[in-house]
Amino acid sequence: MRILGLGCHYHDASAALLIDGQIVAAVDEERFTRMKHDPSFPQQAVEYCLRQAGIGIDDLDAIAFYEKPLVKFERLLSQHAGHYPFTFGTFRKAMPSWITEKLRLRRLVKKKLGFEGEVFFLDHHLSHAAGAFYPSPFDEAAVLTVDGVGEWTTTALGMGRGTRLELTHEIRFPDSIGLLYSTVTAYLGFTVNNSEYKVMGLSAYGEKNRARNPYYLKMREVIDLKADGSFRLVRSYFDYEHAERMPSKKFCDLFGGPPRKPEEPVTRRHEDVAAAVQLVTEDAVFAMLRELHRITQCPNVVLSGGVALNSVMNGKILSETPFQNVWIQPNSGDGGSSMGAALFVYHALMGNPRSYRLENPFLGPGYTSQEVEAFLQERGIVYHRFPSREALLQDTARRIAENEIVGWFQGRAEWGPRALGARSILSNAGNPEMRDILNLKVKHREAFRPFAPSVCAEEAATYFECDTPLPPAADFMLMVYPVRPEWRDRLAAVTHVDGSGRLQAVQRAQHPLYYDLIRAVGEVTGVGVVINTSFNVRGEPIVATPEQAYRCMMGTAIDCLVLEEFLILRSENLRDAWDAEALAGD
Amino acid sequence: MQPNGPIRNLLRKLNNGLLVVLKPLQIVNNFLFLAVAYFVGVGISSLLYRMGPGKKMPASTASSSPSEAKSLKADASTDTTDTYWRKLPQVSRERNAWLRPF
Ligand SMILES: [Fe+2]
Repeated sequence: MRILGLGCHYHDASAALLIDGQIVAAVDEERFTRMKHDPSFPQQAVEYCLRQAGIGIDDLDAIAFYEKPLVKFERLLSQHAGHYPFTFGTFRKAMPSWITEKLRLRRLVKKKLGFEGEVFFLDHHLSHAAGAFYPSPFDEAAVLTVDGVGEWTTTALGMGRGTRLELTHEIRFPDSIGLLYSTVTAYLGFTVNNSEYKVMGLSAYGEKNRARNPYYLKMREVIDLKADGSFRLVRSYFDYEHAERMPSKKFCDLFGGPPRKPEEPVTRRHEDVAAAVQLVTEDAVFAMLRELHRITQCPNVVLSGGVALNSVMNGKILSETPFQNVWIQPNSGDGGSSMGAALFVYHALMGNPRSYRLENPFLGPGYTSQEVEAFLQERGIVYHRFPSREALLQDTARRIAENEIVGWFQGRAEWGPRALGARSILSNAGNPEMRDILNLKVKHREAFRPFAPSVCAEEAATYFECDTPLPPAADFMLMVYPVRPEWRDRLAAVTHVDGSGRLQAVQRAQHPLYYDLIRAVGEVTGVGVVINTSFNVRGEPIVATPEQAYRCMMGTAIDCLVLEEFLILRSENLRDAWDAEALAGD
Repeated sequence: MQPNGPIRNLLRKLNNGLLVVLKPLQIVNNFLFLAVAYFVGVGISSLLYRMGPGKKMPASTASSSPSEAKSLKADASTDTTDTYWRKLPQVSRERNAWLRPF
């Protein structure tokens, strides 16, 4: 049985291929089109999935689409009618793509893919829920989905048992925790549906004590939050229902001024507003989780939806709620829904038993040594081949210990927005200066954004005050925990201003080479932690090909690239140098 | 095929010229079509909803303040007065329902 899951037309288009109950390939379209969060039809992602499995489109038994487009269209029309006649501007912009593509999904699938079989249409939040529950390690789990908006639903509670999955409660648009967070993202001068994680990073600088944060109570004023986690947003503070801007004038007045312009400095007020929305998000989600536990009495919970990428919140789930185990899908935004859609059709609709566990997030494209070498030779790039795996590990560990910045391109690409040791830029976490060096030479990030540490799973508790046993979501860099006080100075490069770190716990079974590298670095430096940041030019998606990896190194100040078993030094290829920062985006 | 070169060139230029002339017309047409769809289609639906007894547009069922929210809670199918959760019907959908984009 072969089912292709598809998601597109909002943001993070993706495809995932399920064969006999196993996900064999999954990738976001942005990796191919090089457009961050690309919403367009995932043509290249589909082609990759089929190529990876060695099958053609006619070999598919069904396609599963991640939402019901007509229901979403109904919501849009309803919004326009509800705010008539003030929505003509947004109506005029939105309609052409609906008329030509989004409403004709079945036709589009036939035209673009040549597929004439059955196309299933799931509900958006059911796809999220399925993407969280079916690949989880749990036979039974309570399910929480929280995002900006699907068709109508913005938040849902549910329960999965075996192959059955049901959503039992929902909150509907325009009441949305995701849209509240995005409104603050826009208010703070960042890009909506892209830079919410910057608000999360900034929140660590603000006042986290609810009584002392000057904006916490104001943030509670814009949301009517019940003890059971259900909520409504107070409409007058938001314009997103009928305009392209998100915060209303009243919202701006409440928080002390107009939205920050991107080029303006970040002030204490912005930090406190970021902290306030983070606190309120946690208030709401933890209340929802407590209610979900009360209803289900299940010790396990899975989360999905864009809000489930909030790793600061995730790190507190087990301490703030009665749940004992938590799992979060590594691509828990809309990108992951293609996988959920395929799994739902296979298990819930076709009744097939579960056998898949998403323990290995490396589901994207990879390259053989022969392909890499052919590329290097074709381009006339100066390179070296490591004589052995051991030599690769020792040399790379030494370079990291000597504060070189290493581009690391190994195996198949990660599923989801985080670089997890397949397409990563690695550097020395034991050097407190490394954050500044990385920012100066490569990343050029806002100063308030921290870098993430990778650590061998067994050693996570040495460096972090983490849950024990460590939840599997920590494998996917989805949990933030406090760095142990005795390590904070030494690990300053990966310790956020509030003493926390967004760790990736690396399991040897998932990525043996990366695991062994971290161990080798530990043997040289005495600190078994490396800085792991995504391998990309600022504003671009994570690199997907050897060509892009090489280009990224030559456009930044990455010192060397370990590309499969090959070492490429920047200093030996300076003729290809260029300035990536000149083209960098947000 | 060389002899066809100048003719093909001419046709291509003609085509490009037509596109330059027609593109603004197409934009105007699209604009007019969308304007009619919006001001007539969406307008009438909006009017009908607003005139209906106690009807509110789904997108505007909520309130401008928490106190108003309380008075509108009956709009949602809540099982207690202190919640905004809407219970979802637990009916198993027939297979065909999943094949529909609505
Ligand atoms: Fe979503």
